[in-house]
Amino acid sequence: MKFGISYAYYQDAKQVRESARLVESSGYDSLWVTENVHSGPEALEPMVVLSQFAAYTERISIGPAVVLLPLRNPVGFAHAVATVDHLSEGRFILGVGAGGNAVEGYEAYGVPVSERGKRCNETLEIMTNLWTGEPYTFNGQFSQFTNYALGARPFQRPHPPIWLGGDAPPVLRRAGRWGDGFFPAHTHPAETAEMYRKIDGYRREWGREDREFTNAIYLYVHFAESGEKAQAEARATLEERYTYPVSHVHAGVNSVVGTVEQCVRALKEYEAIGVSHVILDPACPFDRLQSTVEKAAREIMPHFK
Amino acid sequence: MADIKFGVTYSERPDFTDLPAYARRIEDLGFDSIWVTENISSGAPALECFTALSFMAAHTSKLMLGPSVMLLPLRNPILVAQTVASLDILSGGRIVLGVGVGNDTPDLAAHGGNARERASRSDESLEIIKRLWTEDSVTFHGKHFDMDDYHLVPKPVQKPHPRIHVGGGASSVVRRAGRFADSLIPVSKTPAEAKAMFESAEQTARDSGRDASAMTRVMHLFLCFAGTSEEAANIASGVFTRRYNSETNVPPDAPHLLGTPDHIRRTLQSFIDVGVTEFVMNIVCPPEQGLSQAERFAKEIMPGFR
Repeated sequence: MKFGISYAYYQDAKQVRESARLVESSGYDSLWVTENVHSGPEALEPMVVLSQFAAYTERISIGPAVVLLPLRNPVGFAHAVATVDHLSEGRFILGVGAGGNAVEGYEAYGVPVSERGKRCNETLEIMTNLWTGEPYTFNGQFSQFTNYALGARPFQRPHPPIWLGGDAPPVLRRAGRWGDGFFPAHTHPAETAEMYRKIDGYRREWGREDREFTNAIYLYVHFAESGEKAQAEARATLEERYTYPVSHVHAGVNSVVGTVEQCVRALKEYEAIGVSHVILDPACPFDRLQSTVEKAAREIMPHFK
Repeated sequence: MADIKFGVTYSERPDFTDLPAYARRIEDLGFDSIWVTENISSGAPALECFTALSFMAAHTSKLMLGPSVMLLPLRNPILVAQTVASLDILSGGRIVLGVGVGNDTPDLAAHGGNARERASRSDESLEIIKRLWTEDSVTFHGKHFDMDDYHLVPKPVQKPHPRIHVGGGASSVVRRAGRFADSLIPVSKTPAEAKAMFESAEQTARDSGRDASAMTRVMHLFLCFAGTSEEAANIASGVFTRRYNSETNVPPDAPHLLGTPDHIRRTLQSFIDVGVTEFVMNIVCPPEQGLSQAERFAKEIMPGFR
């Protein structure tokens, strides 16, 4: 099983640099950054953070977990993804989402929330076609252009892996149609297994069952001497981060929150349903990021090698 | 004289593996800034400007960094404001936002823009970007954008905000620069034409109640050393034709840095004489010669202006 770290609340370049090097040197496989828009926590724009990850690491995969795809211009974003894929020499994974419940900023961007699914689909269709480098004509609801070709194709061919985040029914269908991976957040093992199974069905419908596909999961991580303490601390951190109550984090169940033993047990459940890549979001303030990243690498990861 | 600043561009490449070494070398050579040209479609592979600039920020520590130029009508102003604020933080306050409105190109259409609206969209965008950088909460109701109580966090490091350069040649560009920008960058203009444009932009700034003396005069020039100006203009024409996949002819007598070191020095001086204090030099030679052109400039030209 592979492991990654996802974090977004960097205050300066030094934190970005030191965190990127720490995650790579601790033996992780991937490094991610989340996106937040409008009035939320102070998170940096993810693509420029990922460019710096590309500069500060050599081996690990990097990607957004997730970028809010409906807010991005399909052509400009296809170019930006190709760019970071070049700068990382093919280490980019494109994690995309439609925003879940975090859609406060959409109106200001001029994107009705009701259109976000359709926009995601159109954007994925446009980007995957533009990444071939061939002149492409598109007549959609939101974009129309004729014989347009990107100057720069991505480094990876045909394109960087696309992972879908979220867990709503349209997301599962989208993952089957466009995805090379799927990573729901905080879903319990049994429901996660059911989602993977549904996506397998959609992939067959699209004739994509022979393509490589990554079943992944996105979970919070935080350790303490007891499950209760770890859960309470993680929830307190997240409530401060998101400014709304966080009750969906359960120690030792749908998270890597708790004692090391609890966390290993929980991850064994995910491993049993076929999870091959776990992305850990440290539910702690920045000053405890390093100890959390190191502890998970030292005490959790060896159980899954 | 001591205040003259020089920057160079990074443009199309067959691949981009030279970027870290290029950025570091430009910094070591004593240049003040590095710029990424925006070229999205049709032609030679080039990088998206903001992600490329962030990568360069990681590989340098002193250079100012900016797009030359980013096309405003192709982007959402909130995303631009957020991205540049993030870049400003990640570079330790080294970002300059160079913008233009571009032409009626396939890029504009593919991004959902149209030629008729690109000027008014750009004006609204600049107002929104500046307000998001400097105000806690922004409410804006325009022809193209609508937002209520939008909070941009985090804010840029530079105060009041990163400098904005507006580049181009039309009279509408001059007015836009006067209303919103910290610098106007004329493109392909003689010193006399540039002087008139700077004065007009500064007048617009005064008319808009801004401090015109805070505006700096920046010039965008093509750079190519060659034995003669004819030879340099030929090389430049070939580069532009490949870069934009469209036949381009640069005349040898164009007011650019095309030709011998003496010619280049004289041309620079003619712009300094009309008050230009900063040069953005678009290196127009085959990609593999980019660094040697910059090295020549740093060794043969720069010392005479410092």
